Amino acid sequence: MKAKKPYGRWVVGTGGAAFLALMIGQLSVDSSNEGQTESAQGSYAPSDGEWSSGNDSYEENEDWGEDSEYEDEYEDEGERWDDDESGSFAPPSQPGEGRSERSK
Amino acid sequence: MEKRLYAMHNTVRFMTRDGMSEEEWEKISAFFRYVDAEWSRFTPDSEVSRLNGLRIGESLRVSLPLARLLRKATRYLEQTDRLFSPYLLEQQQANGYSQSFPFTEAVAQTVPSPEQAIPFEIEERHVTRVGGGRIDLGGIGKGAAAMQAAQLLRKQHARGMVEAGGDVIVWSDGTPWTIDIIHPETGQEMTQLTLRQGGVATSNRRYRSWKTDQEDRHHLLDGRTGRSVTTSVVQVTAIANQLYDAEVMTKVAFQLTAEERQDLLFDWFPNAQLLVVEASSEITLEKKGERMRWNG
Repeated sequence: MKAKKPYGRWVVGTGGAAFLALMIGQLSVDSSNEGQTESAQGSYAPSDGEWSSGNDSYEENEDWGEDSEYEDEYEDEGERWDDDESGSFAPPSQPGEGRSERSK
Repeated sequence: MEKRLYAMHNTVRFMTRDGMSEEEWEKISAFFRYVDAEWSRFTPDSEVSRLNGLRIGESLRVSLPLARLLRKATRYLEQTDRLFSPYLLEQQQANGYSQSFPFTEAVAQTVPSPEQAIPFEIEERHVTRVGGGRIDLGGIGKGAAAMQAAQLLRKQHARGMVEAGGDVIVWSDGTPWTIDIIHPETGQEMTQLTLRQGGVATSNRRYRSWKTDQEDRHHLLDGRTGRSVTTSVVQVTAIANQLYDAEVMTKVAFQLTAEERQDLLFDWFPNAQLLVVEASSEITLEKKGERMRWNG
């Protein structure tokens, strides 16, 4: 039976810890960089196909089953986001906090 | 406070007024690892790829977030009379989009007409193939992932933003957010949106484009023919209550004239706005019942 894939609760065996540390390091910015401006192409950007290695040595993350707390996220999303308000446009006077542009 | 990660081939930014707990960050990181692994059509053993490999009559039990996303995307397909479709993988590949970007040239083949029937029946987490058509989530996957993260953060943070490859979702109990809308040609700030709560999505037909031996193609397809849309519109930014709506609107807007956008798009999404950039560099701001030239 094909081993299941983990995304949150990592169960590591011998040799897995180093791989785990590598993957977390590649997907998360070090907390010491919080608040600092970074380029999008930092050292943490994995190459394409990073997740197609098919490593089978991990346990399944149970967060995506029927008891997932993410079930709540979808159920109440309408009430949270349905405020009837629109934004306003103006020439940029200083850099915005967010940026909407085509995907890179 | 800002944190970033790299997922879905994009930098994803998370901003909250106060810091994010380690538990929150681990949940969000884990979720995007899951999205990268299971929602991509380029990953051979992802759930999306396995669904695409099903034969008629075969079923697969998938993760809950993916099942719900497929149901939501199918509802948008029905709402927009197929102008939006998450089932155009074969058409994307036939147009030449068979690998992740960047690439500049590709071989195009005869584009098959999109299937008329919805290819999957979705019952809770069980997905059964009942017809042809394969999944390519595209931008709605990115928007859904950002929305999930925003939903989680909003429980603990009164003001926050998630920005995923140009899609933005914001919320605030007070001070609105400022969001720069970027010009497709210059890469500079074109205008600035002030928004307290909602989603912003931008699509551009020039960046994800490529040359074939027949003609130039791009990734924005006509949902009814499966071919790259022929239009003078270069970029569309949509602002809507929910990021899903904004994402769908950008894809559909390219397929409609300005008059059709008033008649159809703003009937489906009456509270939304569009910022449309033409090849002539003309920029218009469109709302239900209004269309005005935008000078910045």
